[in-house]
Amino acid sequence: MSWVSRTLLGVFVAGLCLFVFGPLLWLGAHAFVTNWTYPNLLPDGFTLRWWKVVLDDPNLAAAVQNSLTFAPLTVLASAVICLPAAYAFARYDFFARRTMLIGLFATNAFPKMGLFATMASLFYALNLMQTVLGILIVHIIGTVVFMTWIPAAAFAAVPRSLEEAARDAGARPLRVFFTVTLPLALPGILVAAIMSFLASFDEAQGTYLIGAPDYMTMPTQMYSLVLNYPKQVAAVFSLMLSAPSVLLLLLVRKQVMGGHLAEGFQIR
Amino acid sequence: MSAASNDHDTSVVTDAITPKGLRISGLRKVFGEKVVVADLDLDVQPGELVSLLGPSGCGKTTTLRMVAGFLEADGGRIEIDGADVIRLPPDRRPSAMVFQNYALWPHMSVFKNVAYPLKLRRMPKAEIETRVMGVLELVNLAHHRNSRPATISGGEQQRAALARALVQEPHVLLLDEPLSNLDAKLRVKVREDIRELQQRLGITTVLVTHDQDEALSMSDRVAVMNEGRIEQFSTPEELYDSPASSFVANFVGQLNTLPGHVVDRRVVDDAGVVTCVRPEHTTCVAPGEGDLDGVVRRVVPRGAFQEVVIDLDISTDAHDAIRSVAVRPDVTPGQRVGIRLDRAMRFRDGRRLEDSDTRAGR
Repeated sequence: MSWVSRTLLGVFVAGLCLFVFGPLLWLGAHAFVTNWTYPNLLPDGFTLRWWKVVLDDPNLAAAVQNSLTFAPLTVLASAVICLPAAYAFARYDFFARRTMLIGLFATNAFPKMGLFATMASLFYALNLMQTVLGILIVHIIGTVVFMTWIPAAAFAAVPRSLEEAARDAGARPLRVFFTVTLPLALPGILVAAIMSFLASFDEAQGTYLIGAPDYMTMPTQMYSLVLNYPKQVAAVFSLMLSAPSVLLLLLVRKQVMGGHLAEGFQIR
Repeated sequence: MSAASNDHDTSVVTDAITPKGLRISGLRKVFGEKVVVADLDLDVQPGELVSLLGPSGCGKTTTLRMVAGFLEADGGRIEIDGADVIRLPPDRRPSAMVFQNYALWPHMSVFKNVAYPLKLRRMPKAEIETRVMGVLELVNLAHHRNSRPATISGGEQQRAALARALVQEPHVLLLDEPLSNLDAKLRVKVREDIRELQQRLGITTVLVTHDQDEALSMSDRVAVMNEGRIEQFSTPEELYDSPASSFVANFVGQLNTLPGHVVDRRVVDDAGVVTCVRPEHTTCVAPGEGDLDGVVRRVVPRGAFQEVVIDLDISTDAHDAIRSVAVRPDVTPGQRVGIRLDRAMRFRDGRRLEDSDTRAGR
């Protein structure tokens, strides 16, 4: 490689890094500075005051609490609803199977706001506005694709002979599922659960429409934060909002990349 | 002898009426339009190892899977030790299977894999430990008790799968191409190990294979299958020495096939008749002294013996060359030779003709 192309590559990589990490750096910095505005090259000073503002604000605390409640509940309910469907998609051939599988994308095909507006009118009729159930339904709808497609692939990847061997050894179908199929599909299900958790955690539009002002979550609070608080508070809140995503992805990185699933494929 | 009959070798079959062992009668399986298994009858005596041998798609694996219970039969009976199991799900059948891909559970250690069937039977922990270790010793795998299946070799995986089947003390052991994933050298050793173990434990066994070496070397009796039917069911020796059909003759061992009768150094055409001779019964002699004449095309060294490929004088399109094997043939390529055919077998429309043990053309 000549020095020209090497330099070009270096510039490109540096640009990419700036593009990806620049906003994060800006955000991270603002969470800890007293003030940092143009044309000052450096911030005026550092402080933890904004964190105290956020933690002391009862509205924000409630939002954090709501978010941390809705997301796990969504994952749980979504798993109960979608995992049996995923297993059926993976193992059985039934009428219009393919159509249904593709059909799951329907909710993702429409503009979100349009969908939620329609749902809202339905929810008014059903008295689901401003209710936990209403919010959960909105969140679950956003997770259906993850919770069905990824586990379906995981179930399908479990060789049938492994299940047959368990039947042969004397296990009944339910036992086979819990001792063989589920453990082997678990990494895929875990990934789906995390995607669903994050989808629910970051859902703002539908939650705002259905839940505001009684039920505010972290993302919906962001709307008012940006308008009503100093931008440093918004920065602190953004960091708190992104913390679960980063932590969860780091935690399961190994599970996703290697682990049981890869081990299973090695066996012929 | 009719090809589809189950003429038993009396040395193996002591009591044909005993309800023990595995008895399949009138077994049938249809996939859509295709009849995969057609009214199959098979008797496996207690302690006997019977192979289902045949090309892929002949219905041998389908038959085995019906015995194990993974496939529902469309008709017929499967009796294990006198009890009809055809309505039972696989978990309630007294059979255990060793899968072609071993089907070991990758998330469990070797010990847990083998202990799984016993745990289902709610056996006390101490007894599970004893039994599992016993069977792991038997297959020489005790040192890998805590290994995950992915970390042990193919041969060890195979033994672990065998251990998992044996620990169930099955009435019938089912082996589905158990050696096909092993390399050639290991295969010979493992098949001897399995055979020895099977005989020592006296366990009734059905082996499915497409490898004639495997079937001949391991079995008490071999059922050669073709298109869902059993072409011949007999001992390995009988199968090789007196095949009931040209399919069996071709599938088991090598074969020279001539279209017609061999008379006066000529091949005389006769509708549907072929004359077949094994290479080891084809001998090179002086020109004019044998049953046919030809020219040596090639001498192929095969290690312990040599294979002589001879072009016949009479052109017989597809069957233009004849193969002969000898330990040390004193012929060279291009040399004119006579060919003596011993123990020629004749088939009409695939069925064996009588008087087949006499020399051709004599």
